Amino acid sequence: MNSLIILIGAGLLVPLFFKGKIVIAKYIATAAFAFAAFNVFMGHGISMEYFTLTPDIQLLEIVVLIVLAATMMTFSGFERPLVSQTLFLGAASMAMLETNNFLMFIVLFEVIAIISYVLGANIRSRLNAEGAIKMFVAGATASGFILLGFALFAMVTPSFNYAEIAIRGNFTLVAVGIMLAGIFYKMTIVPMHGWAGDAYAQINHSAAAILSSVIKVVVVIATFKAFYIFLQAYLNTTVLLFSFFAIITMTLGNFMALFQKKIAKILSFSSIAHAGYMLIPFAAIASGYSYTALVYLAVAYIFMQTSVFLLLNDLRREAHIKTLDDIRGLYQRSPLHALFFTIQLLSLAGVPIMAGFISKAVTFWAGVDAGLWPLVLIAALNSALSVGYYAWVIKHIYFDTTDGYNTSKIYMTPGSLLGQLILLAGTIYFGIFAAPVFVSTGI
Amino acid sequence: MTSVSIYLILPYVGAALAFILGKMNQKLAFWVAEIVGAILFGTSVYVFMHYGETPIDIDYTWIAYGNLTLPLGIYIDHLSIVMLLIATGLGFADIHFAHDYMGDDPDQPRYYAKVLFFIGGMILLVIAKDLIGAFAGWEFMGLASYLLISFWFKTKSAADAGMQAFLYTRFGDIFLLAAIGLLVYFVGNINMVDLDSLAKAGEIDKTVAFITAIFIFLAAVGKSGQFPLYPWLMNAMEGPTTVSALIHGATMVNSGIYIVARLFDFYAYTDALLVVANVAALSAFIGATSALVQKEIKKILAYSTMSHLSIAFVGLGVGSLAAGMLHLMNHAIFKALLFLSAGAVIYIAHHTKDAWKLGGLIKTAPYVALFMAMGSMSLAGLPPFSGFFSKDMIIAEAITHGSPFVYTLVTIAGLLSIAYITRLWILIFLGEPRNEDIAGHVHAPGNFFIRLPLGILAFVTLGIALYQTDAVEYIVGHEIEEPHVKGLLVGLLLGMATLFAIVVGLYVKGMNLLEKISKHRFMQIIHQLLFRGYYVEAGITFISKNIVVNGIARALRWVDTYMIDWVVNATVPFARMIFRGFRIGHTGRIGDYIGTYAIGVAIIVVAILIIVKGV
Repeated sequence: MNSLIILIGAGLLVPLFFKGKIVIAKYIATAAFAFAAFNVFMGHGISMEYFTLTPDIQLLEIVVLIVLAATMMTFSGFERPLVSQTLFLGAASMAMLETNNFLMFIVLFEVIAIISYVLGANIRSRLNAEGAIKMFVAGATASGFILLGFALFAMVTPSFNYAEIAIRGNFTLVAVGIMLAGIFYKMTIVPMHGWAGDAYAQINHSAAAILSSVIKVVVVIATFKAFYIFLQAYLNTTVLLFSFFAIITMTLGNFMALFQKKIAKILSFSSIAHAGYMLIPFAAIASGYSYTALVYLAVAYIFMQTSVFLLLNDLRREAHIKTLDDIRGLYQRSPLHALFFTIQLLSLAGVPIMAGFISKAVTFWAGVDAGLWPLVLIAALNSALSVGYYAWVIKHIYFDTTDGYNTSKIYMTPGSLLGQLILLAGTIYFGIFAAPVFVSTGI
Repeated sequence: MTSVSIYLILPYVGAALAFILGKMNQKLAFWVAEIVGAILFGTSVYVFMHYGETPIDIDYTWIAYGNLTLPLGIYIDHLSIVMLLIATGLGFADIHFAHDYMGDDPDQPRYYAKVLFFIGGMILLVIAKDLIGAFAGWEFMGLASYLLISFWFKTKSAADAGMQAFLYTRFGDIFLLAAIGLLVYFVGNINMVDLDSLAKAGEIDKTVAFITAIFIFLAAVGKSGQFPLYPWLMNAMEGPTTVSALIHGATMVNSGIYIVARLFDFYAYTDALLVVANVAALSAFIGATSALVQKEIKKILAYSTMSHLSIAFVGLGVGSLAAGMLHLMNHAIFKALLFLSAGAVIYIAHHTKDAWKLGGLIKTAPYVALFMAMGSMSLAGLPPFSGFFSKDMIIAEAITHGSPFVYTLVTIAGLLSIAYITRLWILIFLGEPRNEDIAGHVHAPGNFFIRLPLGILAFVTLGIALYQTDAVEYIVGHEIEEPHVKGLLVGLLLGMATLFAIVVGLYVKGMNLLEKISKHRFMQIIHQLLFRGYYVEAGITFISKNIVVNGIARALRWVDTYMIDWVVNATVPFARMIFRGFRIGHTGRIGDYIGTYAIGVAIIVVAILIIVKGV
C-alpha cells in the first residue's frame, strides 16, 4: 500500500518541478521507485483484498521498478511529459502483477492501456503523431473486444477471484477467446501486431522503450496468471492455438526485421518476434517449467529491450542517428554507446552469459518437456535467424567506418550512463545467476 | 559470506570503475585499482585470521532443470586461503609497483581494468568448489593473460605473443572442458571436494579417473608452462614486466599446480601422479638448462619460473602435497620479488631488457641490488631463505619416493638455479655498463612505489622461512615427517658452492675465458639448442603450420567457401522473398491493420468453433 501511495503521490508531485531543468523531478521519481522497490524487497506488497505478493511476483516487481528507475535516469528535457506517467505506470504494474481478481485484471489492463496512450502522446513531429494515433485506434478496438469477452464471461462465473472462477461450457470458451483477441493486441501477436511495427518505431523512443518492454511483460505475466485455469482446462486448444500464434509471430517478426533499414524498425520487429517466444510457455503449459520459462523470458527481455531503445533514443537525440547507414562506425564516435548496444543486442540474440541465453534455454526446455518438439525446433531456427539482423547492426557499429558521414563524437550523459549500467548489470546478472528466478518460481 | 561476495563482485566492479573513471582522469585508474587491491588483500587477511574449524562451504545451484544440474559452489579451506593470500597480496604489491612502472603509459585505465579482472579470475578459481566455477576462473585468467601480454598490441611481437599464449593455453583448456564432460557423464559429480572423497573411498572407475586426471593435467601443463606447452610463457615476456611478475611469475602459472593439489586424492587414486612427476622432472631440467644461456632478463626469469613450477609439480608427483604447495608458496613470493626487481632495473634503465647491455647498476640502485640478491638466494635455495626449505624437501621426497629419472633431473634443476640466477645478478649489477646509451643515463628508483614493495617482498621471503613447518601444517592439516636423506644437505650445498664459484669466476674475473669457450663450435651448438628452448617451439610451429593450417584448415576452408557459403548465400533471395510476402500486410495504414486484426480474431473464432463442434 505504501509503495502505491508513494508512486502515485510522486507522480502527482513531479509536474510542479517541470519548469526549467527536470533534474529534481527525476530525483524524486527515482527515489520513489527505489523506495517502492525496497518496500517490495522487504516483502510489503499492496496488501489489500484482491492482491497477493508471491516470491515470483516480488522478483518481477523489483525488476520492473528497477528498470523504470533506470529508464527515469536516462530521461532528458524531451521526456518531461513521461516522468509522471512512468510513475503511474510503476504503480499500475505493481497492482497488475499482484492482482488475483479477474475484474481487477480487466480494469488494470485498461489503466495500463491509457497510460500507454499518454506515453505515446509525447508528440513532437508528424511521425510521432502518426504512431500515437495508430496505437490509440488499435488499442480502442482491442479494448472493445476485451470488454465484450469479459461481459460474456461475467455472465456465467460466480466469482472473479482466480481461485474460484467457474468454467461453464462453451460460454466461457467463447468469452476467453474474445478476450484473448484483445490481449493479443497488447502483446503484439501476429496478426494483431500491425500497429506495433509502426508505432514502436514512430513514437518517441523512450516511450517505445517502456511500451515494448515493461508494459508488454507486465501484460504477459498477468495474462498468464489470469488465464492459467482456462489454459489448463482447454489443454488441446491451448497447445494448438498458442503454438500456431507463436510460430507465425516469431517467423514474421524475424523476417520483417531482417531487411529493415531503420534501426527502430529492426528493434520493433525484434520485439514482436520476442512476443512469439513468450507464447511458447503458454503452449507448453503442461510442463512444470512453463511458468519459470515465462518469468525468465520476462526478466531477461525487460532489461535488454529497454536498454536498446533508450540507447537509440540517446543516439537520435544527440546525433540524429536513425538508419543503419547512420550508425556506421559508432564505435569511433561513442565507444560507450557502441559497447552497451552490442552487449544488449547479443543478449537479445541469445548469446551465453547474457540473460537472453538462459531465458531462451529454459523456454526451449519447457517446450521440450511438454513434448512440443516441432515448436521448439522452429523457435530455435528463428533464434538463429535473428542473429542475422542483430549481428548486422553490430557489424555496422564496429566493422564499418564512418566514411563521409558525420564523425563528431557523441556524448553520453551521466544519467544515461548510470541507467545503462543498471540495465547492463541486470542483463549480465540474470545471465550468470539463474537461481533467483528458479527459486522464486518454485523449481 | 560477506567476504565471498566481496571476492565475487569487487574485482569486476573495480575493473569497470578503474576503466571508466580512468577515462576521465588517468590518475584515478591507479587509485581505484590500489584501493580495490587493498580491500581484496585485507579481505584475505581477514578470512585468514577469522578462519574457524571448518571450511567456508556454500552450495549454490547455478542451473537446474530437467536432469541437468550445474552447481556453482564456494569452498574456502586452508589451501584456498594460501592461494588467496598469494593472489591478492602479490596482486596488491604489483598494482602498487605499477604506479611508477606504468606511469608514462597513456593506456593506464585499460591496464588496471585488466589486472583487476585477472585477480578476479584467480580468486574465482581458488574459491570455486565445483569444476565449472574453477573452469570459469581458469578461462577468465586465460583471457586476462592474453589481453595483458598483448597490452602493447601495436607492436607486432606483443600481439603475436598474446595470440600464442592464448592458443597454447587453449589447447590445454579444451582437455579441462573434456574432463568436466567426462566427469558429468561417468561420475555425475563435478564437485572437487566430493571427487577427492569419492576417490579416497574408491568409488570411481579407475580408468575414468585416470583419463580425467590426465586431461586436467594437460590443462595444467598449458597453464603452468610445462613440457611441451611452455614456449608461450617465454614469449609472454613481451607484456609489461608488472604483468609478467603477477601473472607469468607468481599467480596464474600456479593455477595448474593448485588444481592438481586440490584434486590430490583424486590423482593419488590412480597412477596419474607418475605422469605428473615424470613430465615435471623433464620440464624442470629443460627450464633450468635453458635459463643458463638466455640474454634477456625476463626470459631468464621465465625459464626459471618454468623450472621451479616443475619442481613444485614434482613435489606433488612424488606424493607430497605439502612439499609441492610449500614450494608453490615460496616460489610465488620470491619470483614476484625477482620479477619486480627486474622491472625496477628495466624501469631505471629506460626499458632495456637485454642483460648484456646492463652492468654496474649496483652504484645507482644499491637497494634494488640487495633485494634482488635476497630473492636470488631464495631461488637458489640457500639457507636460511624460504626457497631452501621447500626445495630441499622436494628433492628429499623425490629421492625417497621417486624414480631415478625423476630425482636426477630435479636435483640437477635445483642445483642449476644458483648458476643462472647468479649469472643474471652479476650481469646486471657488477662490472661496468656494457652499452653506451645506458651508461650515465640510469636514474635512481623512487622510494614509495618501487623500493617499498620490493623491500616488503624481500622481508617476507626471509621472514616466511621461519614459518615453514607451520605453513606445511596449515596446508595439509597435520604435522608431517620430512624424509631424511643422508648427506643430501651437504651434497646440495657443496654442489651449489661449486656452481657459484664457477659462475662468479667466469663472469667476474674470466670474461676472456668465457668468450673463448663460447666460440668453440660444439659449445655453440649446445648454446643454440638451449637458447631456443630445445626447439620445442619450432617443432610445434612446424606441425601446426604444415598439418593443421595448410592441411586440415585449408580443406575445411574449401568446404566453407564453396559449399557452406554457397548454401548460405542462396538463402538470401529466399529470405527476401518471404520478407516481401510478409510486407504486403504492412502498409502503414491503420485501416489495414484493423483488417489484419480481424483476420486474427477470425482465426481464434474458427479455432473455437472447431472445438465446440468437437472435431
